[in-house]
Amino acid sequence: MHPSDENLLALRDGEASEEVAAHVSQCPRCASEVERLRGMAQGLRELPSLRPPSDAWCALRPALREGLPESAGLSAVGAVWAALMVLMLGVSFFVLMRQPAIHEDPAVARQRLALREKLEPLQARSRSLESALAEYRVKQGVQSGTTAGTIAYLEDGLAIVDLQLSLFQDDDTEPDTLVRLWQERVKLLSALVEVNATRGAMAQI
Amino acid sequence: MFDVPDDPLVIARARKGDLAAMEALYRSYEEPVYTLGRRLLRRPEEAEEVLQETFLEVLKSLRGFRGDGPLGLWIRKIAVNKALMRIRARGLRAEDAGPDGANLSEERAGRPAFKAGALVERLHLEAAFGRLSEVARAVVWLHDVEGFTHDEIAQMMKKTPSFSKSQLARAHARLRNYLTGEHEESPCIQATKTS
Repeated sequence: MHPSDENLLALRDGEASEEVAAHVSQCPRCASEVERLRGMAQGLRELPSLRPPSDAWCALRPALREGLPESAGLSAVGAVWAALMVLMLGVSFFVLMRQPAIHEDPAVARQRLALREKLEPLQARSRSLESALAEYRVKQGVQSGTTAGTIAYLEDGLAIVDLQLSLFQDDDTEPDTLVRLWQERVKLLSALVEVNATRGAMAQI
Repeated sequence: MFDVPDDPLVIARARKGDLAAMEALYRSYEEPVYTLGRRLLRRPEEAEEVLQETFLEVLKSLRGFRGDGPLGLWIRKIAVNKALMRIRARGLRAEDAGPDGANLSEERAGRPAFKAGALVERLHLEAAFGRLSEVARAVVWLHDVEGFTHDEIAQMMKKTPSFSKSQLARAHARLRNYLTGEHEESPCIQATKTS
């Protein structure tokens, strides 16, 4: 009598009785079946792993935020202390900024002032162009492929300039670069306003 | 799949509620947990739910993780329990049925024998495994792939070890049946009958 599947599986897993092991050692068909069962387990282990949808973590995160352990957030006392610290730092920063730099080299101060005089009109122009652009965006209607392409090109350029400006913003060691970037920004914004204005005029015809 | 090396620093940060560390843990184990869910349960949506439930429990009760074993095994245990809870809720029906209740013997007619190339073999095996009942799939996967013993499976399924053993044997007979078109009995018993 041949062993049952259950016994053959037990043998595969090293749990069979000596009697079953002795039979299988002399029965080629049973031995081949044990091998097949081993191969089956191996085949299952080698099945590829499966990736969950990419947004699964995003769906999980809000639920986790709700149930974070208390130590993860600030306790009430900690929050008050943190708020006080931020306030003190802010006040100190404000006071320091308003005081003239006592030990500043006059030459450096002059340079800083010259840079500010160059930048301020560019920044003001930039702000007014952005306001104009915002109005056009609100009224935005259907646009041709060419117009959309031009706008996308200009906006890409603007994004690059903004990125560079964010890197140089707090660094006045390269005044020429800063001025050039702001000029570039104004130029791109003007072009964008112009494209939008032309589009608006064409739509009215 | 769950044998990811533990990073004590990440675990400590995740315990304190650091979301970035939690995400790092999630990224390390999302595939094993999801794969386990997909192999044990029929519907992908359920595997996603198991993934979510598992990580909610893991990350919220991480402070209870004593660290006396690998984190991966702890996560695996939680994931298995989440998946089995769903199977148990459906009544632990052990009878085999195709995903759509199709007649298997008719489906099997004309199917080529399980001897093509490695990729085709894998696809056939995956398809055959997918046709087992959820209980049979759970027992085969937990025993043959994840390495749980029959005692452990019995405990998790709230059944006896004999139930686990007989389910495994029946499932393998079914797999052989699906893959080769043979009868469910062992080849030795067939040989006895024909001789």
